[in-house]
Amino acid sequence: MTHVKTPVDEASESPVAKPGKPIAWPMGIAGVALLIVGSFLSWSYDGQILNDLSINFYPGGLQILAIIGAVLALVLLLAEKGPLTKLGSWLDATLGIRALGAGLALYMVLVVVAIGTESDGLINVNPGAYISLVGALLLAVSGWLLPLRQLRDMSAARLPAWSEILMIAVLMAAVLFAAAYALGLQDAWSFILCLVFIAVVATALFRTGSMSFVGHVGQRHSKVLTLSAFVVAFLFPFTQNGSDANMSIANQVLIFGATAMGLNIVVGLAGLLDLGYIAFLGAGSYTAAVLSTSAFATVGWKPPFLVVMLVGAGVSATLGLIIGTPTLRVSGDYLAIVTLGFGEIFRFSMGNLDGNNGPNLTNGPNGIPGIPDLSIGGFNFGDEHMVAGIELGRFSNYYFLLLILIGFVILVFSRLNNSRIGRGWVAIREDEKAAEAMGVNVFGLKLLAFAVGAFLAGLAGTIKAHQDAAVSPDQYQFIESAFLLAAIVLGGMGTIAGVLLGATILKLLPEKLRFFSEYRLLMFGLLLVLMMRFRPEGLVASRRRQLEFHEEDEELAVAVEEERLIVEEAK
Amino acid sequence: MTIAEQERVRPEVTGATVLEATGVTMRFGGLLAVNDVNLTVREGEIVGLIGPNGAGKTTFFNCLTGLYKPTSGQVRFAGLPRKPAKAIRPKKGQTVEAVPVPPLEPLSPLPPKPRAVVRAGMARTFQNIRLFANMTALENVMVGRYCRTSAGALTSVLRGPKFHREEEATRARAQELLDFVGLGRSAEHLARNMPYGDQRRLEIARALATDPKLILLDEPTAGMNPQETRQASDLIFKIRDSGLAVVVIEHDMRFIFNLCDRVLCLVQGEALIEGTPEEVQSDPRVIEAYIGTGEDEEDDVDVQDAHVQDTTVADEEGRS
Repeated sequence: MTHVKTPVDEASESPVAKPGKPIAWPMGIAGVALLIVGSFLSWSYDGQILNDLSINFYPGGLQILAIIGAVLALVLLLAEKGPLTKLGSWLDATLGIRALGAGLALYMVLVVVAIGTESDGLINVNPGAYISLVGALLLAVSGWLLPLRQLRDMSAARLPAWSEILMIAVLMAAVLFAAAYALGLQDAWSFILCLVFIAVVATALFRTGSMSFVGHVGQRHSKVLTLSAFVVAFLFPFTQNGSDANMSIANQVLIFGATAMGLNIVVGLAGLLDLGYIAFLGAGSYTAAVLSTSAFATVGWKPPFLVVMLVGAGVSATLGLIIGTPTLRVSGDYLAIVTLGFGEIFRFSMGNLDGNNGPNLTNGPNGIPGIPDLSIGGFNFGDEHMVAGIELGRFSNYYFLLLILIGFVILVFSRLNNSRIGRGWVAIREDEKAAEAMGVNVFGLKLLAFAVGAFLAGLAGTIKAHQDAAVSPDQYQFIESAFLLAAIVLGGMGTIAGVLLGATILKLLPEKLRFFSEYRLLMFGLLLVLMMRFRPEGLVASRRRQLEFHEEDEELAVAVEEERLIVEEAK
Repeated sequence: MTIAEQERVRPEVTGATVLEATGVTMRFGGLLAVNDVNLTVREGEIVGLIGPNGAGKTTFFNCLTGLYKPTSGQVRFAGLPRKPAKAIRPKKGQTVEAVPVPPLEPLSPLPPKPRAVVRAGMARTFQNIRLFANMTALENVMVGRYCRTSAGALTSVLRGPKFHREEEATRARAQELLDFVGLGRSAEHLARNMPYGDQRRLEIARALATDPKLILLDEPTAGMNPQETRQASDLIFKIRDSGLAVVVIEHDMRFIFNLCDRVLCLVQGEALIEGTPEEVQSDPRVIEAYIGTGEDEEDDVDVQDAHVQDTTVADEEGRS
């Protein structure tokens, strides 16, 4: 059958067909070429700033990033029309080029601004930067002129199993490399530009749909994915060359992440709003502190650390039960207020148990300083070790312990989620009355979520006390609870990857961007407002949560269902 | 209503008493919603509960299932033994029973707590469908198995052989029940994407998953077309045949008189009459309650005429 092209046909095939269409592709190629050429030239007259971008044909870090972006764009352009068209039948190259073009243009603008502010004005920007900027702009324009195409369904895409696993490994290695590189950047502008670049590349990959492919691959090889993620996390200290600066931040991220995962059970799974959660971390910390061999510890009993961990977690869980039993009869906003009050009660109690107003348990506002490093089975966490020629300091030791902890927390979270208990929680979130009428133990399950969450936070707290070497009441303010909650909302309630991502963002950025700490709260407030408006389900959305947040969206529901059916078939 | 339908054989019900509600009264402040209603349900029996809107049918249901604590009166139930029955997987070729039938316990008072009621063996559906919309059909039914399974937090984290066995049994039983109500092929569909009639049936499957002895259906055919209504009544017969007692609230008169062994008519919170469908159908007070006294009208309304009108009105109502 011969296909006769009608105007209507043409319009439906390429909804954005424009007169300039034939030049779009060459224009994109030209843009890529300019970007690369510009990046090999000098960007800045001043060699002291942004890790030296001033030498011709010797690209600095930020210039290499631009070249990587350009190469990625080239691949997408070739997928559009050229030797890689086979790849192009799967990938939505046009959307990717649009995102990449716009993002790289933004990146170059920021580079120019950075050079301008770091040295004395735009006069210090060399032509190379402008050439790259023009290249990025050309790429963006060509992206908008390129037609959208019909694509094949990504979920049907398959590669041989070994290459899929290899892909996961390469991706994880890239993540490790990117993390080590970004954290190694000392000045703030370089760090920001690096983050912008990572965000641009990630967005472009999402737009091409390759991330959904990665998602499918991850589902097919979920064990490999988890394992490789842990291997990468395990290898991270080896990239730091014994420097403690980043490891200390990494430890804070891990403690924060583990606590947030615990809270995720309460908020993300059981759907209870808890605004005083930091108190459970504090309970674990204080327990470990008073049972430690610190000179200021107030209890004579000095059990080994594994016992301390259990006692701390037990104390925390008991507190959870005590606060939960009366308060879980109220729900929603009322529960949030009650838990908020509980968090403050905890902080004030710790500040007041100083011997004047009651028994001397916590040393009052001074807290308990001088908590010694952990020593488990003769292994002292304060010592430095040489492993494979790389020095691992005190923070690295704690890092490995915390990694085990977070692994445990994730295990508890995911196993509870995929069980009878998890189904009960979902049912309660969906319709509490109906759940009760179907025989689900609503109160018991809510209490369980509270207790398990508190238990995990207590565990994290016992390690935190030794890692920080001191506890004091002002570490456990309301704002910390709010940040934990923000990490969950930002990352994606009920997900593992999302909450870890949220925790990393909320803990890492303020540490790396000291100058921005005054505006920290303002920025996070703004971020949360924007998230609530545009993506209430968080950066990494759990499918179920996404459905809950979009009750009216029929298309989404159908899409989710089809995805599920495909996953079922694959099994 | 055809003759053939009317003459459907009603098996003589002689089973043991499952539910005995005596003097159930529910008062909301000054409003007497349910006043001194008695109801006895025997094994393998289908009892209809009819009455005009606002007669207190659903309130009575809520009193039975523990959602409300009755102001006075007692609900006694001959439930299942407290220990959860082990899920039995049928061998291939064997017909699927809705519920395995262990012997009943003697009648004992039901505590007014929904969970205790479900555990005792009384399950219900809701007038306005209350499924877990964002779960799949299978997951919905698996939630129904919650009260008959026991894997706790520790078991779920450690995942021993018991956990896997129970999870497997839960899944198999849920699939079995979906097949029973005719939704076997929709197991992976989200509840909220399912057609209306399927959602009603899914709710019944979810209630059956709690291994009840008595199932209470609150308007199971509301909003259904005649074909779906017929399927629903077939399903209810099938449930009854597998040994359960059924209580149905319904407005569709043809449906209820065709289906039930006994009918209880509530009017303004009080039991007007209880008896066989024929008795209730021809009782002038029932007709009066549904379509008024006819005092305003010029002629005295012939009872037989009124009856005809009644069924038509009810049919219309059932379809709307």
